[in-house]
Amino acid sequence: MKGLTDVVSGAGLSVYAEVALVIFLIAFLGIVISLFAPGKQHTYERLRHLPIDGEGDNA
Amino acid sequence: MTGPKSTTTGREPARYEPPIPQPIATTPNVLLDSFSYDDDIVRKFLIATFVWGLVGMLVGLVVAVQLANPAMNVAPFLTFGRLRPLHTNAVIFAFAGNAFFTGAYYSTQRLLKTRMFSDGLSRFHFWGWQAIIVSAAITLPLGFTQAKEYAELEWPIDIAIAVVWVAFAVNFFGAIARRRERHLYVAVWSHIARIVTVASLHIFNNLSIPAGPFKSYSIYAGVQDAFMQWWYGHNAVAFFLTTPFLGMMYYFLPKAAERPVFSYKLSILHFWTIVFMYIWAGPHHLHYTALPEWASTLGMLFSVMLWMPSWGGMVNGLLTLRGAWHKVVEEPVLKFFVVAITAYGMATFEGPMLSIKSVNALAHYTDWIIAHVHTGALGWNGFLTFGMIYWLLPRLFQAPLYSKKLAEVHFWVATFGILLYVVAIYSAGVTQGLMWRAFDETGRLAYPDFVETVMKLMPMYWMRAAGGTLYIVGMLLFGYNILMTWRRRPASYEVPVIQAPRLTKEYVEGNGRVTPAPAGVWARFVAMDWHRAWERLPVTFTVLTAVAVIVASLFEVLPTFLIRSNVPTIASVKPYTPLELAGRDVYIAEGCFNCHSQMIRPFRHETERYGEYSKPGEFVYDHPFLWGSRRIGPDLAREGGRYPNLWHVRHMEDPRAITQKSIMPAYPHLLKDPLDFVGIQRRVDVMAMLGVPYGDAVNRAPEMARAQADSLAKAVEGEGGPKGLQDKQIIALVAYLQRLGRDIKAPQVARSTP
Ligand code: HEC
Repeated sequence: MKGLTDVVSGAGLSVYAEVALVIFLIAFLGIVISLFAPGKQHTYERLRHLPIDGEGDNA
Repeated sequence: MTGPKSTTTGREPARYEPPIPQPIATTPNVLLDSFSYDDDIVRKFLIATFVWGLVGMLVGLVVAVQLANPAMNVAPFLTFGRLRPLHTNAVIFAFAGNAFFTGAYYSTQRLLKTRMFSDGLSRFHFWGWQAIIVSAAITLPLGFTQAKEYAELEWPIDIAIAVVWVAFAVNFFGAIARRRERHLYVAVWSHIARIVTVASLHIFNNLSIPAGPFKSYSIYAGVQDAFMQWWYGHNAVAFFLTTPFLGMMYYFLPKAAERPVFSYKLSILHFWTIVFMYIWAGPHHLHYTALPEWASTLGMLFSVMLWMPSWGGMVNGLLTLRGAWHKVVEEPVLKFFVVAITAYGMATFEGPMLSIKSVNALAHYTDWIIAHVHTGALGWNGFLTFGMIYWLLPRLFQAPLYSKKLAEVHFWVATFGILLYVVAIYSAGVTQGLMWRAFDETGRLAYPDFVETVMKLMPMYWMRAAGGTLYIVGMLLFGYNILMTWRRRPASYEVPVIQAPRLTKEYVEGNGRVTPAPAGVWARFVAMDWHRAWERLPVTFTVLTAVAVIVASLFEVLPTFLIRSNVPTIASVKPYTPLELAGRDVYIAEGCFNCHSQMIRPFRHETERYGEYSKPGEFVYDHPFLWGSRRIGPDLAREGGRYPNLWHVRHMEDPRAITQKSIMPAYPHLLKDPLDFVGIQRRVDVMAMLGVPYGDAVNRAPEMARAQADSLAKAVEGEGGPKGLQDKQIIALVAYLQRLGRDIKAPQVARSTP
């Protein structure tokens, strides 16, 4: 384990925490934009009704 | 009974046009598959949910009463320190876990229009999971624990968990691959996120090296171990108790209300925001500890941001009921859902608030956190489960619910129970937090005697026990209703045959346009409408996203726990001696960390009470870390040298002989049980493997331990104590307690808050 610590310490990875954060933000914005992009309304409406349109509930 | 059930009530025809059935229904060569759903597995998980829920809650009641009356610690394996992890594990993994599997197996099959991938895997999953729970119920009271909250189970059980989890994953992704519904509903997404995330959390937090069949040491130490543990602990709350239950809410609430979710977009936004933000919020469990400042602040920021999506989800849930509120009056199912969603809103308001450092400074280590957790567990997870099961009962057992009245009574009794519990424990938390930090007019601690701050809580502890009892009474009514409904079941269950077309290679867009799949990889790549491709390949997409989440969170965690410069070493900090290490393992086995912290925060009221505040470098040999999260007893980070050896011996034998009002369990067996000196060698060796500089001890740990034990036992005898303790466990424990915090000899001057 000590060896591993040395290797990772030497690799200078600390900057990746910030890089990961920025990638996260960009990916998240991408999702939000695609969510509100036009052209998917029908799919969303269909999905919205999926649980209650289903069959196979006994009773 | 068979055939599609009309659920058109509550639809809004103005906004929704049913998909044009065209290419499917009118094309003659479309294949209609006939299949059925496996409800047998759902019934199994439902019963297990109830049984383990009852067990977990009863153990909860026992530990609650033990705090109000320590005489209830009746046997060594039934003391608070050993039972408390059993309670938390039972309600999280057995009750909420089985509840989730109940909901997931029911909803996944129907949302994907397919049976699960393999009935055999479903059964393996069920029995495997129950076997794991049973093994937890046996090993935890026996003192086999890794000492990490909600990850206490020892390594053989951890491996079993991983195997069963993989079986579930194969079963689940197999079902997705065979689905007959192209689009994945948000509930399925959250199940996917759960499967992938929980697997990685579990694996990374449990990495350890075995030092025996039921003993292991975490590969991480001190600050790094703490960081890893709360990255796990926090995200386990997210991906075990939050997103999966939201998935269940988004499925069963529309079912019960017979109307679609208020906003599907909001549900997606809610889901992604939680996935993206939760990952970064873990450090809020470690404010003002020896954690780096930046990590702490980042954790706080993200936690506060989490408030928004959580309330978005709550509002989305409540608005789903718009126009259906009259049904809430009549339908216990909906009543349970409404309180569940409200509790979700309260808990997710309180959570971000508690992550604000100044609030956290008051609340951390107190019962406030326990109150917060129970708003979530009893209100959100419990009530959502009850509502779901009441809705499922008539459908799964194909008979009307035995008694709606009884369900109604369950609802009111349990609601009152939650209120009693939360109000009592919330005020206990604030009371004790304020007493710890109070100074009198001369500038000294107003309540220097810790027990004083404990005695103040007794009425509230009894009130909590009453609240918990009410909740359990509700649970018994619930069980009776389940039993009686089950008894009304038909001689054999009807299994409706469902028909649905297979997914075709051509992608049928909602507007009826048919896009044939182009031939060849390159042609397909060029012709790809990427926007649409996302939806077409939801599995790839979701799995990739999940992987991204994991990789990104590891990038956040990795540097923190592996970069040496983050933890300045202190030259005077030395490894525990073999005997002290053995004593530390007694401390771990007895679960002392459930009541005692070992982490003094840099506040004047803490340094005044306990001594110099804790430094990251003091914990570099602590595999695992033992900072604790709740101070039912005083902090022990600087316990070494505070009292004579004999004091500890007497105190462990019977705390009330020393501190009359103490609520600490008595441990007389430690004065009788022999210490396994030979076994210490293996433990020292594993520590040495982990990088602890043990030097000579790797060759002669038992001898060194014996020598230290002999001289310590002589010292105890010299102080007027009993003879013959040199080969007993108590000697190791006292050696450990006397070592705590002694490596840095800082003057015990009060430091002011930074
Ligand atoms: C139910 C919670 C609980 C558990 C479990 C528990 N303790 Fe305690 N402990 C307390 C309380 C409360 C006090 C304060 C009253 C007293 O001195 O007994 C205390 C006090 C102590 C003290 C004295 C601290 C001081 O500086 O005055 C020590 C040492 C101690 N406990 C060690 C242990 C050890 C070792 C274990 C496990 C074998 C353990 N405790 C388990 C609640 C607990």
